[in-house]
Amino acid sequence: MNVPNDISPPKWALYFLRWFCKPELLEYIEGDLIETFENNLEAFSLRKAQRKYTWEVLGLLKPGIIRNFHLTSIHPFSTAMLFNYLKVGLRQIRRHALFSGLNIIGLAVSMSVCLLVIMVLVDQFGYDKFHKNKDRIYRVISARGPEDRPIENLTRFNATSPLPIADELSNNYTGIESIVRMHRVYGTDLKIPDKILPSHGLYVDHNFLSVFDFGEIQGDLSESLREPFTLILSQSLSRRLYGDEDPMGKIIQLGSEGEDYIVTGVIEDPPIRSHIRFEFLASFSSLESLKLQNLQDRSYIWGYYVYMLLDRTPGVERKVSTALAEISAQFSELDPYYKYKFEPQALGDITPRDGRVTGNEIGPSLPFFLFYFLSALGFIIILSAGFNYTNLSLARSLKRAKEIGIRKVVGGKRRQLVTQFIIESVLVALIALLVGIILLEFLIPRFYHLDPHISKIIYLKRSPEIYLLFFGFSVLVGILAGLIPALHISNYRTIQVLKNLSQVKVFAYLGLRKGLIVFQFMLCLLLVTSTIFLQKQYKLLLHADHGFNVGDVLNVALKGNSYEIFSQTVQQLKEVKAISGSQLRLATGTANSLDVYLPDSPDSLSLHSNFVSPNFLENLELALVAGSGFPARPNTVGERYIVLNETAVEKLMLGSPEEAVGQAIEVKVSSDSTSFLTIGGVVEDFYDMDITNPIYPYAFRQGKANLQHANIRLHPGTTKTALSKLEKLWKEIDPYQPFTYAFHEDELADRYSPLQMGSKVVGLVSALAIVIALLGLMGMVTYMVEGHIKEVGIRKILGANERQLVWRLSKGFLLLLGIATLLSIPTSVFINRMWLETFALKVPISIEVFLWGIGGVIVLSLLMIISQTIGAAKGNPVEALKSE
Amino acid sequence: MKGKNLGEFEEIVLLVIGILYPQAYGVAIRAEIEERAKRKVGLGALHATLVRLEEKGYVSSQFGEATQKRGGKRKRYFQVTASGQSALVNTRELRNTLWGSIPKNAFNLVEGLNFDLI
Repeated sequence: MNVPNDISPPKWALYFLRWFCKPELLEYIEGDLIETFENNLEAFSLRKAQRKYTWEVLGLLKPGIIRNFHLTSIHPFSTAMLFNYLKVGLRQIRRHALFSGLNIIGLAVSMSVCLLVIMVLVDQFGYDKFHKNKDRIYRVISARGPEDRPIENLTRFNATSPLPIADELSNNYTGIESIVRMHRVYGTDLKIPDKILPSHGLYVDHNFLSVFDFGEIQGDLSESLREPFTLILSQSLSRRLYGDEDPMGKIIQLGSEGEDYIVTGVIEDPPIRSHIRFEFLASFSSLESLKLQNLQDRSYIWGYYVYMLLDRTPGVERKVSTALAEISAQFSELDPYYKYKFEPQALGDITPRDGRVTGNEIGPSLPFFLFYFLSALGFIIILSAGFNYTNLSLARSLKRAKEIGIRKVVGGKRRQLVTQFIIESVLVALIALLVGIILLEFLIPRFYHLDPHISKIIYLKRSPEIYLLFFGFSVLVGILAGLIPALHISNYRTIQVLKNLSQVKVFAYLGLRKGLIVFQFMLCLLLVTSTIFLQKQYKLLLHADHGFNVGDVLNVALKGNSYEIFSQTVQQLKEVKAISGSQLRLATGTANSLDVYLPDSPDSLSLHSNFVSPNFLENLELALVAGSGFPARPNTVGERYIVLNETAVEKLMLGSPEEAVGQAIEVKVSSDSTSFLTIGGVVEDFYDMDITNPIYPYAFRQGKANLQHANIRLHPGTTKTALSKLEKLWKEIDPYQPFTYAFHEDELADRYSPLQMGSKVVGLVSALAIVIALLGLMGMVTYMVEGHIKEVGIRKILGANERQLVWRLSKGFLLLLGIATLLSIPTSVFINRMWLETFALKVPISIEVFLWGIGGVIVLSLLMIISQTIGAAKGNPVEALKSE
Repeated sequence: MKGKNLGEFEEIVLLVIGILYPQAYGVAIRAEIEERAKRKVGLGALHATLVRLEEKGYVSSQFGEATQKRGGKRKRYFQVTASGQSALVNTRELRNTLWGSIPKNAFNLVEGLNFDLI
């Protein structure tokens, strides 16, 4: 043969063909296929030729070519038998109400969780599918790192990239049909003569609307966003601003001191499943005519999005990748301080986020691993419930032995029996599905309740497709759960089960059954201990000393109102202990960067910075280690002082904190000017991002105009009255905008909410897993007690007391629980250590956790076992023995 | 009677077998149809039709020699049988009659264009 192995057509397709094709046609059809494949190899790539081959094979699935399958082998039952199976199945479910109930509840509970996971996955993987060009849309993501580190270390990308890339790509490279530049305006005010509305939107190039498909637009598609200072409103925003009036041609002022924009169009609200969301679109050319400096800045990777529509030439992705690698090298070359790395990211990889992008996402999105995590949790508990079914059915299989025997005698084939039992398990699974769907309705609001952000990101939509998916899922669960019992039961030897039941191997699969119980409990213990660790870690981080005190501090957004005026009125309230102002709130995830020049050196250091009022340090209880902070009477002649933290003093090499105070440092106050500021004080280090991040060098500056928040410290216990008074005051100062506030403590807790959510979710799942495991245990114990009722009676007559009997009946299960405990401890230590490692500050892996977690589960299981065995031990032996 | 009539694709296949005589086998038939009729033909559709034609008795076939090519698989050569030929003739006559019965002014046919009935 002249075809080497590695360029042969796909094997499975060949086998599939051989399986379904009429033998007399096979030889020359196969020959035709090979000939075609070889011809295709000359014209196309190997993969395309293989794909074509597969298509041809599938195309051969036609009457006349498919061989005759024996009807019995594909159709093991007639309709009459099917009805018989269903009837017997329903009778079994009714007759053994306890066991059926245990199975159905267990399956329903776990299914409801799986259904939720399915809905979440369907939602998240359905993003951005409505764009016609979805397969050709990519965007540039960027990473930046210090010049002296290898470029391979750059793995954390931003969704934004420097704007000059766009020109570079369109001028010097091919393969790109069009480039859309975007800039996000997050939270700005739209002013029209009689209204101010906070809103968020995007500056976009005019081709935005032709590259993406964001629905109907009223106005000119290609011209609407071409001119500077033009604006398109979303339908809902237009309605909020103008009601039913036509907004075309109206003037809107963007931002409190911003420019006037003219409305040139109205567009449908963007679909929920779009990673790009906006309420308005403004023309990108407006930014250009404002001559913003960072438009030309090759090092400004924080503000702009560059999306590309690639053309249709083959291999264009690789070409663009190489182009971006070249641009990265070029940018790195030109920059003395930083290295850059730019990569293309396909539209399909944006939601859910692939591992690369960690910052500046254009809209809310969730990382990929979260879906692995959720799927894993769902899988664990459906597995656990499936085990229950398998276990209970196996344990009770002997009861069905006579039925099997009869069916076999009258001619039932093994395949038919397997089908029968699988139909039964599917029936149970489908009933469980109905219950599960009801439970799901209770679960969904709780899921949304976990975190207020969820409802913005995940939209759980009930549709016929979803229910079809649910149905398929539960049939699959039914088949898998019923497979082992079906194979086992159908394997009984006819003569044996009919003649002498006691010879049947009762203990078949006993090892498997025990293994399943051990595995179930191991999972429970693992989940419970992990929940405790998550919870403890969350508490630890939340209550850790951040270096400042935010108890009873209320942050009010000033929204452009003067801090002076607001603070003077607020100070009068008797509930208010103190008030200070700041640009940013500490440890809420935002930071400004400020370049400070090292003394006697051309190098500069980038600090985090924040504008504050003079009494801010005192109000937030930031401890001064040297100096006195800012002078209480703010100077009117401009900025003179600066306060640093210890890390900043150290990084700037200013000596000890005491030595640093009084020195003047050169600070880049705007993009083109520097000024010398005197160090007025040094504060103790504090965590300005959150406690999982290292401490950054930090600088407090003074600037009245920049204060965006008022930090109001209340007297303890006065929250309610203070809030209502504050709101009234706010109304007097600003009748237009709503009063927006948040407790600093809550905002801080928000930073750690992933951990808290994690512990809530894992906690819920472990509770469900425990319930399921206990249900299974209950079934097993009940069944075991039933089987030993005579033995118990005899032992009792011979003088055994209740305690001895309970012990005798329970000890087998206790052993299994013991093994589960022993196995779970090292697993739990391993898994929990793994994620705890990522935190600098972490809870210790303590015995206490295991004592509580494992102890709790074991006590519950013991109660379950004893409650089931004690009845038998207490019962009257005469009752147990008198009837056969 | 149903099954005696030729379908459009069946007719094309029969004619192409005739064109290629005596070298008409799967891949060659397909290539010929694709080239002349400018349409994509799957092997599945073709073989299903060949099986049907053979069942109706319109084509007969025999295996060729095994060669090194085609993974050592033999070709199967088809030819149109006498009843196949008469079926083709019948179809053609039917069409001609139908074309002939169309009144002159019914179709907007451009004078001089030659409409071949395949």
